[in-house]
Amino acid sequence: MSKDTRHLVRAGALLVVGVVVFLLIRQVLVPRSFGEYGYYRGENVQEWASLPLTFSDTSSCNQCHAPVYAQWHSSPHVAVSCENCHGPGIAHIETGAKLTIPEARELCLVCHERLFSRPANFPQVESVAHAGDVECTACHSPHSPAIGGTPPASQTPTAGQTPIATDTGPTSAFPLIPHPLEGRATCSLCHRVEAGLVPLSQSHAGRTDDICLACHQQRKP
Amino acid sequence: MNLSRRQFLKGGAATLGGVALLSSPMAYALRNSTKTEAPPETKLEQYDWEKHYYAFAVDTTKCIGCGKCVVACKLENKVPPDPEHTRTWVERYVITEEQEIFVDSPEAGMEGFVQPQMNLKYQGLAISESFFVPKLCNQCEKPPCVQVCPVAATYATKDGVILVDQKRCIGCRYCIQACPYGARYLVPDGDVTPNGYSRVADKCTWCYHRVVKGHPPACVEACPVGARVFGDMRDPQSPVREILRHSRVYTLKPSLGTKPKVFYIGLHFGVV
Amino acid sequence: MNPGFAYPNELETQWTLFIVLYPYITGLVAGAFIVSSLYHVFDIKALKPVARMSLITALAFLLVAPLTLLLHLGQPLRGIYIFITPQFRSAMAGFGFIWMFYLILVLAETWLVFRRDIVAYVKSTQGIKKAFYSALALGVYDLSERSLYIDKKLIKILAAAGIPSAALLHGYVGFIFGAIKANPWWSSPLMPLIFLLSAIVSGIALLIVIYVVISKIRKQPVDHACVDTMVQWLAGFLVVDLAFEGLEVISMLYESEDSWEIISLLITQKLRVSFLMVQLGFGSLLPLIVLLAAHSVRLRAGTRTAISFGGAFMILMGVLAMRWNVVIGGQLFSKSLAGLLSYTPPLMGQEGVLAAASFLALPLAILAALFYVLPPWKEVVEGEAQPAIAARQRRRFG
Repeated sequence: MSKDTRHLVRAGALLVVGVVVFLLIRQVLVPRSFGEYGYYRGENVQEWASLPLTFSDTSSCNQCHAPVYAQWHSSPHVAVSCENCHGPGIAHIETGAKLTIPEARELCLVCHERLFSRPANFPQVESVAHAGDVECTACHSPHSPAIGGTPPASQTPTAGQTPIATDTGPTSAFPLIPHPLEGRATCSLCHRVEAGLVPLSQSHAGRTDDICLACHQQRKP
Repeated sequence: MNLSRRQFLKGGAATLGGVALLSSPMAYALRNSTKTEAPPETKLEQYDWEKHYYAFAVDTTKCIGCGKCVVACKLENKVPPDPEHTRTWVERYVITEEQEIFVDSPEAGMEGFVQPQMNLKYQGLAISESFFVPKLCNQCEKPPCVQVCPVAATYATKDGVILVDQKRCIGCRYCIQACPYGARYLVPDGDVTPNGYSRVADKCTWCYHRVVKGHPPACVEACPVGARVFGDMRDPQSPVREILRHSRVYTLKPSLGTKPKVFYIGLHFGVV
Repeated sequence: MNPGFAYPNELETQWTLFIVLYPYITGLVAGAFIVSSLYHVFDIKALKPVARMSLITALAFLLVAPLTLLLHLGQPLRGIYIFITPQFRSAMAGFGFIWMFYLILVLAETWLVFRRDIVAYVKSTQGIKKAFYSALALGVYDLSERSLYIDKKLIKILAAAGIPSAALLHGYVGFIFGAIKANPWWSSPLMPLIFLLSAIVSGIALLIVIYVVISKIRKQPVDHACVDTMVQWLAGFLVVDLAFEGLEVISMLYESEDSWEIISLLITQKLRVSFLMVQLGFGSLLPLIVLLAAHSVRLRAGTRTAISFGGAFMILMGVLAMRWNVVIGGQLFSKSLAGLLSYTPPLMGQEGVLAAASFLALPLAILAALFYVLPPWKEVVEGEAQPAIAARQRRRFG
């Protein structure tokens, strides 16, 4: 080795040491499962796959809430999963944590308030004109939303069990019509919100004749 | 039911290595029919990811803009609660008689679209057509996000889902820039991903932890009208295959060559 | 399409001030290095006063370049992964290696160029200083004819290799942006070229400014011929740079693809000041005209140098604006192409204006330290110590 290139040899040696140190560090820092399935850390797939669930599915609800499940299952709301309104169910299933339901009106209207952007064939109402500020559940059971939908069979909890939530149907009974209907097709002739012969509550403002009989039936003689 | 779920969750967490789980069919009831079918109880250990290749369909003619999918996603995946970091969102398109197009997505759609102030600006417009378009990660077959990650922290699984290894993500945000669909975000300080990381990239996983166990993604479970459909391309009975057989579908920004696996039914020109 | 929509995740600006600084600083490195190579490879003798200075400048800015990137990361401690598991399909993955390669190259060349000085300092200093210079000399104090001859050959090779490396380093930065097909303001094959040319332009301009300032501080006469030569190269590169920058926008305008609607709004609204006025006007066309004018009429050399200094400073601002317009501009519209977005950097805080300003000052501080350790203007060769400027006086013209 010529003495004229001694400085270059030292510099070169420094570079080689650097590269070796880098390769050693790399050896330590590359994760064990890197490259197992491809150019990434293989264990990560399992990490994602094993995350716990938050939402369950309707079939697990059926295990404890069979009557209301059956009612919902034969209603037009069958496409709306239980957890859509009641919230994620895994915690409820595993720890018995109570499910709470948000204020019913907003919950219904987020889907059913009339919007020009919604598909025309989807059931929608102008909520104010439809029922004023009356709770939707006054007339409609969410588990069987058609008016007059049957409440589910009551469910008695087995001894020692926590009571099981169930649907008791629409929250109010509708006043029955105390008089015959023959010849009285136009209800609003006598019943108006203001200055009617028999005034109606403010919540009925804007309702038309064709919807009266959806809730109010004639008293059986 | 409880017990068995706990067992396989535990088993899943304990078994590393082989993502060799199940091979039984993904039997999700198509949303529009019923939700009654019990998803097959599948054990993570039996899952074979080479036997599945997932796809997603969105029917924009059905979406009612309730935003339930966005809420469900945030709950299921611990997504930051604000609308500016979101794995999925719902856009509203309003097209006037003169074919002028307005797009918005107030609160990313998570509040729905019924609040009066959300509709003020369209008053008095002669509207020809209006519809909602749910958006989520397209899990592209040629994902630009995977291409640009400098440290191999984002990758495609064999069953066709793009995941982020948040233990290795350096937070350079190149993938966020590269995604043409705006599907990615950086987890802000103070929020953590389900894996427990902050200040890393995050995105929709099609609820990978659910689908490998036989459950539909949370947004699909939450959709009340069947506008979101999840399925397996390797399963001839899959609802997605059914849709692709019978509908004209379109993907977003096809000219970019990303080959999305979210297929849209009823897309109008001008959907971005 | 009514502008006003952005995807929800886009409301947060991802790449902010530090990412503006990063291509700016690497650009200055590339440009400064090219100047030293013009002397060492192409033997442009007029550049001798800045030849060594430009190497040190390149080194100072090169050391800072990765810092802004690193600090911008969500997980700075994981930055090393870019070396550990680089994913080479990514336009960003090579950055670490290219930067490291370039650092080694610049360090090696600087060391060889200054080896005579270092050995001389070993002999002329005492104590800690002596130990420091001995370490820099790697304990070898041999300055034989032959060793110096070998050094000279090596310097030439390294300087020659440095030109494509500088082009690679900065063209590569351009590719990081140019390869993003999701973003029509970035996606362009011209991007690497534009970045490279503007890098060279900014590096030469920086050296003009540093050289004039250092001369004033040292109360030494400025070598006007050297400044003139730098201005000639500067103007040449600037013309080509402007041509490509113009070509980029003009072809977008002429083709008017679906993205043009939003890009035209971007240029005329969001970037009206920073692109049209600062980058194109105040930072490119105006200094170009002034510099060309100053060199085509008879002026006192001192006046011309003063004008060159001013022009170079304007160009430095123009290139900084160009980095802003690319990095921030590309994030001021939605990838839906349906709306504009906003970004105003905060004054304080991690990515604030003050933090960014200190990161621009940092390489200057490093530069001052390096100038103190290895003054490039002192030729400390035993027996023939002489200010480099003396030999240059006769080459003055005008």
